[in-house]
Amino acid sequence: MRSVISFMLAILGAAVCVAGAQAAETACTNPDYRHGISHLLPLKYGPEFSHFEFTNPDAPKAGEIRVPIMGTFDNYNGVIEKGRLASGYEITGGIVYDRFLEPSIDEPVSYYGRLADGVAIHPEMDWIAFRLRKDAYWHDGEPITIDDVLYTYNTFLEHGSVAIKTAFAAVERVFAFGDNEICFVRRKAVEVNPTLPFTIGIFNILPKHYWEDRDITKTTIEPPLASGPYRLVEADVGRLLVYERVEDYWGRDIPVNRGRYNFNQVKFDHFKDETVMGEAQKSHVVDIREEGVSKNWATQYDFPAVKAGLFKRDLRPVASVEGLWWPLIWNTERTALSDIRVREALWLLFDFKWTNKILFYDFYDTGVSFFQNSPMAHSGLPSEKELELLEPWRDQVPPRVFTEEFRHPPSTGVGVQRQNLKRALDLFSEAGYEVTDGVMRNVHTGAPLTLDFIGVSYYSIRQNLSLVQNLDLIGVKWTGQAPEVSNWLHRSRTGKFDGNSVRLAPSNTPGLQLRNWFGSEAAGQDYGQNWMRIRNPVIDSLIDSVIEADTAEDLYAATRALDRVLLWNFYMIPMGSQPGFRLVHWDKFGEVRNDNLNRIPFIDAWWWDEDKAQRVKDGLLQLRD
Amino acid sequence: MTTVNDGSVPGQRSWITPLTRRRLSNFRANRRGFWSLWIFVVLFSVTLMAEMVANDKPLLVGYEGSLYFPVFRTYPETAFGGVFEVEADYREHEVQAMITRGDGWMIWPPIPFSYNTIDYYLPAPAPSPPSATHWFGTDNMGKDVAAQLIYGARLSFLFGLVLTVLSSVIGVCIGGVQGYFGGLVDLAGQRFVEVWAGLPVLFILIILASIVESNVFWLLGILVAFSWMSLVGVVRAEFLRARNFQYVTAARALGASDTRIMLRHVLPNGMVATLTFLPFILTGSITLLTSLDFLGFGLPAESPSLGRLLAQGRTNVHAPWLGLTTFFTLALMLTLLIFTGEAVRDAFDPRKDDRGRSKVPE
Repeated sequence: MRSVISFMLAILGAAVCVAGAQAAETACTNPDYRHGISHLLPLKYGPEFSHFEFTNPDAPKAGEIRVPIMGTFDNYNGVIEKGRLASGYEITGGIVYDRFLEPSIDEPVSYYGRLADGVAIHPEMDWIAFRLRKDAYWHDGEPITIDDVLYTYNTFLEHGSVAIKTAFAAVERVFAFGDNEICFVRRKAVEVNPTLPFTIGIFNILPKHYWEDRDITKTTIEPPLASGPYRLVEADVGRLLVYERVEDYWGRDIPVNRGRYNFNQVKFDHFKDETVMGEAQKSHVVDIREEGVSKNWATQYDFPAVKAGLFKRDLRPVASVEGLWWPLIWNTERTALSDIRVREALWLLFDFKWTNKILFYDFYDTGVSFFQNSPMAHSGLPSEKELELLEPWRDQVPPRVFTEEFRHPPSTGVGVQRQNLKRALDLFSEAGYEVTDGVMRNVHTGAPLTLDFIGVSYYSIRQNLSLVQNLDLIGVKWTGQAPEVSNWLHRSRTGKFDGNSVRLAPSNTPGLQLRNWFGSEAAGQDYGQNWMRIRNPVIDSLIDSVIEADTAEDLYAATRALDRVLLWNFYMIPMGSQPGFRLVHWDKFGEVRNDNLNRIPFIDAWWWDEDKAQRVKDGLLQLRD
Repeated sequence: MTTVNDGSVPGQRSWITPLTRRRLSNFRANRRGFWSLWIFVVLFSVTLMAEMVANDKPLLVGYEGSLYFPVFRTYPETAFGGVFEVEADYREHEVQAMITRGDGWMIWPPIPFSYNTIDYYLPAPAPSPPSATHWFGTDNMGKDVAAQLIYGARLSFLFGLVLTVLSSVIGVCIGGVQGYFGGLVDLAGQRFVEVWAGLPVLFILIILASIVESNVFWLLGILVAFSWMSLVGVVRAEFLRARNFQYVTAARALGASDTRIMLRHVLPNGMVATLTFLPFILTGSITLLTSLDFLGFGLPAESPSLGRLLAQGRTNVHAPWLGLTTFFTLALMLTLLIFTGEAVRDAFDPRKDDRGRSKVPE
């Protein structure tokens, strides 16, 4: 009897404790679950949507797609940074796992529930809650439970690679509630980053029962258990991965997956040489890839199968922000380059038209915006909303921001423009540099002006050709070299250069990133990428406006104003911008053609077209005869 | 050895001793080597005058009645009625128009490009194929390949020559000292050479390339530091053998110093082996420089280089003129040098008579 009482007391006590804990817990109370979330713009698909428009729900499930991969792999565990991860096992995305949210690639920044059937965000983003689907299961038939989810995020926080830990730096704690819900509480001290829910939601969920008796801090070549649309069936470590479509995949009919994952087999073949990879594709060993080299794009695709219409070279427009392709940036900490007139003079001496024609096979578009190929890019003259942001700084902003649209200096396409040269010499002389005895010198000190260019590869140096040729002409001494990569990185970070090339690829959700690239705080810091060492209050304020924007309109006004100020300060010489995705493939597949996608979804949304495939097969036989 | 008794008649110290005469005629007897030398000398003389053969400045300009020599002197554009204080770019159409306006004329070298001239008026993307303007096409920066070959061949040969001479001098000295003194010196020297030869030259070059900005002298210094070993063994062996010959012992008994004995009495024996090796060391040096350039650890990027042209040929397989022309240039140069080397070897071969025939059955 006594024991029964004490037992009941114990239960009562425990219940009180739990109640007390819950009373103190205000996070994730009454979450208002939605089917998807987006950034600034409204969601395109409603709660009852049946499939993404870029997919074909009636696509046949058949055939195979063979994709070449540059490099090698020796690991299936993406949680840690060790090892080289196998394609398909990426910790965000991939084709073998599932995650809470799935991005919709025909919208700028929208995510819909995949493993989560609901996501809720506190209005101040104090917390984010996800509700797990109940019918999801692993490939071994075990259900995916909230325990798996908790295990996954705790593992990330405890053992995750630096990238994962950084992504979760703003998360204070994670706890489960209800019977299938999970709550992420934001660290209050950290500034609100509007992309946090997306960041959390795109990580794959891992099976707890599989990893319990295995060490997740080590690399592995035993393919781990997963839950996604594909399962690894054959692997030759470092060389080949063959994935097979999972027939009873739990999520094959949920809206975000309907019409996707159509190939019965996905094969990743690995290469260690770009040329060999290209030739392998030409001989129909692999089907589809992106051509990364302008020269090859222009010269390599006229073989018989192309003429016979069996092989396609397709420049695909994509909707994601492209930005500038490796612009030439200046170290504004150097005395000469801290003068905007010197930077403008240098801008006048570079001829993009000639560079593009002679060095790049006329492939690139002229780069005129840091946010090129997106509504965040400026165009025409500043709008009223932009002027609102710019007006307070009028005296600290180059006057052309208000009066001119940014473009490249005039060019006839032969490298040297006498008009530009003359104007550049005037600017140099205003800034205190004159040519004496064929050498450009500082008029006060008599020291010759020298410029030291570095680049990550020989090609980064080569693209400055028209500029340095003009520098020779006006007696500016220069050196150019591509040091070995880690040395290049060191010199870039520590500011041991005058000119450098860097690819700063903006995303559809610009924010803290911009502060890292252009903010005064990051200037001269080892961790930052403000290699131009910009310390400009106008730019700092405009970046704040970008981060604070809570409507698309405000965001665009802020990015456009920032764009103008960046470019008219001549911190960099913009070169080209990629006009699209260079897709080369054998014509065997079906697709819902849409030129407004953030990427080309050939693995997950295209399908096997039996007739076309047969045509390629017959065509190849004919060509062989 | 025959050096002493076969030498000059006392009192008649002409440098053409009978021995030299025999060697010269032996050299000439190797017809292939003899002609190779001549062809090489002619070609090399042409490259020595590279500035007159391939240049982006005219040899002679007549402007308003006076003569200008742009190859030798620098004239600012203002001299021809232009606006800039900097040197005139004679290839620019506007400068050409200025000169024509002043009743001027220009005499251009046969190849109107220097090794680093970028042809802004290229009609097609670089590398552009051979044409009337660019005999061997251009590289991937729009620079003329023919001009680069001429300048590059000259630089390669001169670099190889200096490298060979320096490393031979060092190698002969060290080998000589080791062989002559023998004993502990020899032992220590040989161990040092072994250790030194074991150092990975390529890695040292890569590391150095990231620390210092490479230039011709750096590269030369490093290569000399690692290439003097090739002669040490041969010279040491000759000295070891000769140090106890009777005439050496006699010289020592007469009170000759070690230095004098080494230079005057033993070295000529060693020189035969050295001179025989020399042409092959030279070709080796040229190949070494080319391969370093090919790998990207050679001369600084703005110097003309055969190796870099070859590297471009590799990355631009659709532009075969890059690889082919460089290959033929290198092959020609190396073949001529090897043939010459064979003739030199014949010349110093004591077993051959003065018509180059073997005295002993082979």
